Amino acid sequence: MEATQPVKNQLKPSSTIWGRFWAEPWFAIATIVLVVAIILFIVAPVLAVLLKSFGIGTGQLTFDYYKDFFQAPYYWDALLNSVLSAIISTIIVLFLSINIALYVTRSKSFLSKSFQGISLLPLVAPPFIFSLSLIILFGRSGIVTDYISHLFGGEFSIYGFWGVVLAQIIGYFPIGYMLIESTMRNMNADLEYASQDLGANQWKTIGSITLPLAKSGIIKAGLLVFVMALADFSNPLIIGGGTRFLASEAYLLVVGQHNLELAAVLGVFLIIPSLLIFIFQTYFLKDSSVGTISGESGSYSVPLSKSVKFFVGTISTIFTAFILLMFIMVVLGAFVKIIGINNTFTLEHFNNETGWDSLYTSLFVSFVSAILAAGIGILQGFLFARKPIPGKKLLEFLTLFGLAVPGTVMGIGYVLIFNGPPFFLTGTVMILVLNMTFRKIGVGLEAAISKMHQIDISMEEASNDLGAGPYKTFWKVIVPLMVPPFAAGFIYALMTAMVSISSVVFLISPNTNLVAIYILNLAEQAKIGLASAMSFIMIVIVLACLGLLKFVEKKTGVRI
Amino acid sequence: MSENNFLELKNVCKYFGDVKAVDNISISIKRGELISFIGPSGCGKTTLLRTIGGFNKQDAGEIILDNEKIDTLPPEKRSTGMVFQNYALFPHMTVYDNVAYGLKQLKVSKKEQHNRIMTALSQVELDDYGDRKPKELSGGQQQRVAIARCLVLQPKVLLLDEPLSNLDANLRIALRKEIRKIKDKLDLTVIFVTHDQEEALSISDRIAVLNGGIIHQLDKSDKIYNYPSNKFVSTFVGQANFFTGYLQESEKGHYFDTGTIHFPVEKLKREHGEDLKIGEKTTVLVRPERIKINASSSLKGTITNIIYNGNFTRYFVDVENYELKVDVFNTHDSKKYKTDDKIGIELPTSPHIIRESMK
Amino acid sequence: MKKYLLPFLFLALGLIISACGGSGNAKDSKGEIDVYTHNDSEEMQDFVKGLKDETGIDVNVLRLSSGEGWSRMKSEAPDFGADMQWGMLHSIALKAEKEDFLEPYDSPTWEDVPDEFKDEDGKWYGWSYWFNLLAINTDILEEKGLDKPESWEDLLDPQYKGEIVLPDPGTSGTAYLFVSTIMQIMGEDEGWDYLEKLDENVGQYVKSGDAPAQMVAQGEYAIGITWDQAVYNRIEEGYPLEAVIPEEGVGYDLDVVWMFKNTENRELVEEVIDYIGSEKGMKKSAAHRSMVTKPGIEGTVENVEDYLIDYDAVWAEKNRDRIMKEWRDNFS
Repeated sequence: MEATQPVKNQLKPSSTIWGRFWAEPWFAIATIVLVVAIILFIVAPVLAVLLKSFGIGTGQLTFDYYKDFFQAPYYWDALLNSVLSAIISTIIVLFLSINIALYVTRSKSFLSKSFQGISLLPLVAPPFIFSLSLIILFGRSGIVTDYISHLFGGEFSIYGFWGVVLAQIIGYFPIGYMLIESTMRNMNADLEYASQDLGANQWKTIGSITLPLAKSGIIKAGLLVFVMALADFSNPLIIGGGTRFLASEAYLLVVGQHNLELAAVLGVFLIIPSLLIFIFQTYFLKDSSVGTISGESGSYSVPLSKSVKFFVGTISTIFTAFILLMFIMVVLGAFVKIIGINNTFTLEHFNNETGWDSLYTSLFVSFVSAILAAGIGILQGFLFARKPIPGKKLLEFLTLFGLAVPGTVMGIGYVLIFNGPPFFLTGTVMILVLNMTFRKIGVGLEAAISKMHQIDISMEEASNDLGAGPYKTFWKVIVPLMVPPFAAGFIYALMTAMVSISSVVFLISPNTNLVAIYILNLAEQAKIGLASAMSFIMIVIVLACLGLLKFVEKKTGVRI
Repeated sequence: MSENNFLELKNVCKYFGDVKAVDNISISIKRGELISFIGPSGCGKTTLLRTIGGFNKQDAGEIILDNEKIDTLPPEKRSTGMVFQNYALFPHMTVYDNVAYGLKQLKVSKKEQHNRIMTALSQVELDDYGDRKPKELSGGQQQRVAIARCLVLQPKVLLLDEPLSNLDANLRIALRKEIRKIKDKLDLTVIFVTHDQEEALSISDRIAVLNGGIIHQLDKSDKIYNYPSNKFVSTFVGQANFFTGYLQESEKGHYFDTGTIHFPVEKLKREHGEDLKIGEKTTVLVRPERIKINASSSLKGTITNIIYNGNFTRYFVDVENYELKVDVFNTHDSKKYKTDDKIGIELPTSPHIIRESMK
Repeated sequence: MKKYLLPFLFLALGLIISACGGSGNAKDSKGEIDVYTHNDSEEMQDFVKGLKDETGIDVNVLRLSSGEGWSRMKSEAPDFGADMQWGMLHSIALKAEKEDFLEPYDSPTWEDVPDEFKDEDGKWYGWSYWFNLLAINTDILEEKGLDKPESWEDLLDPQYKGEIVLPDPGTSGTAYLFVSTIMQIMGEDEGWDYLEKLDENVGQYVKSGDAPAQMVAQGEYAIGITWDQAVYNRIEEGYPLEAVIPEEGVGYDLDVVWMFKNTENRELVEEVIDYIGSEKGMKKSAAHRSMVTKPGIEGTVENVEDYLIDYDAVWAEKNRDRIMKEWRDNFS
């Protein structure tokens, strides 16, 4: 009887992948549009930079620009400084992340919740804002500096290499922290209990069980922080004190000298480490599931012993207090005339029409881009997980690579491609939206891929079996299930879009100035009051958006 | 003295917020004894085990092991060995390194380490698996590695937290026997947590039945099954038919009268030995396999449902609106009944009196 | 119902954002133009407000350092991202004129401004002029026991090691004015020698010409090479600053406005240029600048003419690319 039942809604399987690809034409068309967009808005700009560095597009193939690069010692310095600061920042970020993640995941106190909240706080501020706070505190006549020099004498300056490192540590800490925290949270607590039961104290347990098991998460966090710190261009501009860094040099070459060719060469040197790291992470860091066999035993995570708690707690307290101090400086800076010199309360820094305009533009652009990035990413995740698509692996690689491309490179690439025929997108809101969308599309894609792995394909088969066609199944089954990853992708994209500068800084115009760039500009003019005020508003707005979404999460019960 | 009170819990309490996960429990465990904690999910059995292992700090009470008060020691200082439900094998280490892990924390020479590891591995019959990673082993093998990892440290007490629950049925029975064998061979003191009554009955010297954070009964297996002290124990371990009624007397002798059913009984004894008085109200328990189908019995019922179980068949029989469970062993000549068949029911003359309440 | 809440909130959020933007421009706006400037953000805000009050025209401002602005224009030509430039170096106006970036317009309000301050075809108009100035933090001088520098030459004194902040000529017009002034005073070879010696004392090169004044004001450095109004504004705000005009004299530069070729808002831009040249506009400018070009309107400082060298803007324009390249090769 089973054998004779007609098979419903199942098209005749075609022998070739292209045949199966066209079996559902709407999905096929969506895929093609997506692919064209990925090529145009992610791949092409990067290629354009690469070609430009060889002079292609303006003239003959030439290695002159590379010669320039190698002959000028200061670009070598820049490369060295960028790599070195990225390495140091990464190591310190990892150390701090591990400590704070240990405390947060293994303690339920109010303190641990505060640590968690404060640790994520830097996400909502543009990364260079900490440079400003550091200058207020530790500049040559900073609040702390004065105090120290009165006590001990001597001079001390935050400007330069170490200032950049410090600012990068604070700015990129949340990225590393989030990854490590989630690895540690998902770890099977029984493994640590077992270790203690076998006679190892907590220090040894952390050393021989916890950290080795969290290894892949830690490496992933490290790579991500490294790539971001390497691509950091705003901190060197403000607190670098003239010390050269690769990304900021590339930026100055474009905006100051219009030397796109040499900037492209620097871009190539930025992109090579990022590409290597991305490949390493994608292909050699696969077995990340080790140790996180989430046992259903429901054991509580191992509480910290006294000595561990003291150590980890001290580091967490000092560092989170430091982050908080940075934010307090921003708030104070916004509400007093000139922080450190004339501390009278004032609201004058908020009376800034250009600032408010740029804030509006930022919100609009970020909002639209975040929706697009999350939406398109999810659609792509679905198509790639379920549909036969020729060259799927390569396309997925390219999309996720969009996340790893240093913003400076992407920005220069956009200038090269869209600044003229046939696009003429310069100065439009459209180019900002496109840039942000395709820089963040990987976020939505990653969220969607991991969700699609959780959704049993039999659910879709059941829907098909019950008589719904592929499109109806998509709308009625997949889309509702995809709301949480969409929301998660949206939030992350929104936050990062609000504070992003490295790429869009090349694409703004008087009518489409973005608040993060405007603040950077104020900071370059050393206008701390105005910069602080705009940063403050921006932080409040991003936090309010997050609060709203948390509220929605609570109300709808949709876990975001 | 310490032979009988080798491990002693005195008034141990553990709260999670308002929930009393372990509520004032006291037990004494003998050296070399295998005791099972059984009970439904959330009864407190695992919490109690983890408290003994030192993974939870008790809120009140004392734990004494081999004349040493251990309740304030961290897990690594207690000579207890825990086998976790999911085995908690270190996935990044080989089997050998897993077993070596505990020894490395002690100052033991490399050579002795090696000898002890090999001994432990051979005790669980995994001599040749030292180089494997845990994920290359079957569930049963992983289980045995987890046991070897504890054995190598010669713990005073072995704590097993639902060690067989992730395995399939046949393997469970085989490993159950093996655990018992190892225990007997090495004369280990073992606490075995399970929610599987059959497992507990078959493996244990004594069983503690827990619910709501308290021990309802602590007894040998057959006592638990045949003489459960209250309704909870009787339903959690085995199947039960209950009759609530009065003991009555007639010229033919004593009989039990529920109002609708009456059947002859011998003298019924209460928990502490005194006789039940005539006319006194009580609840008695009859296990399904103690009920016989007997056409000549005056008690008649109708079969409403039949479940075939391989070695026995369970009949649900409606007797005067009582739904009785009746188990009949399937021998080659057992008679087969159908639904709606009218049959005679013979109840045993010595049902067991139980307490109604949980406490 | 609950499942609609999430999409609904997204929608609502989107609407709120668009509404905010809509209302921002709603109040009786006559139109909107895009403007590049190298002016200080704060003074520019006041100018924009003055314009809006007078003409009802809204302005979107993008501030770019002079170097940045020039590099941007070159990359954008012929489709400029702005309708006009409000505040730029004279030398760049000359370059832009040569490249044919500028749109001529004969403005009636500028008639009484002397010819030397404006282009004969009306391609650019100089609305103020500004000059290099040293910002000195007197507190720090005292604290560190440093002498007050009186001349460019004084800055080479080793006592100022690490205490001087100056902008990067690669991006800053202020810095280029300083560099070309030194060349014009000392001659090119000696000028380079000077800059090389000065480099020993420089604590930091910064991107913007305003930043040195601000940094010295905040006490980060003792001496900043910057421009006039950047210092005067900070003195007015109460910083412990002193303005020093070096004995050798300082170079000055016209600050100009112009209309970009191919603007789609020609009429609005014309109105803005008229406004800038008008009595009211010039008075507004005079509130922020040492000197404006309209006769009879005094800037914030008097009698500075005595200290100005006979600065050759045409020379500066001609040699800009070469000098900047050399500067980069030597100091970058």
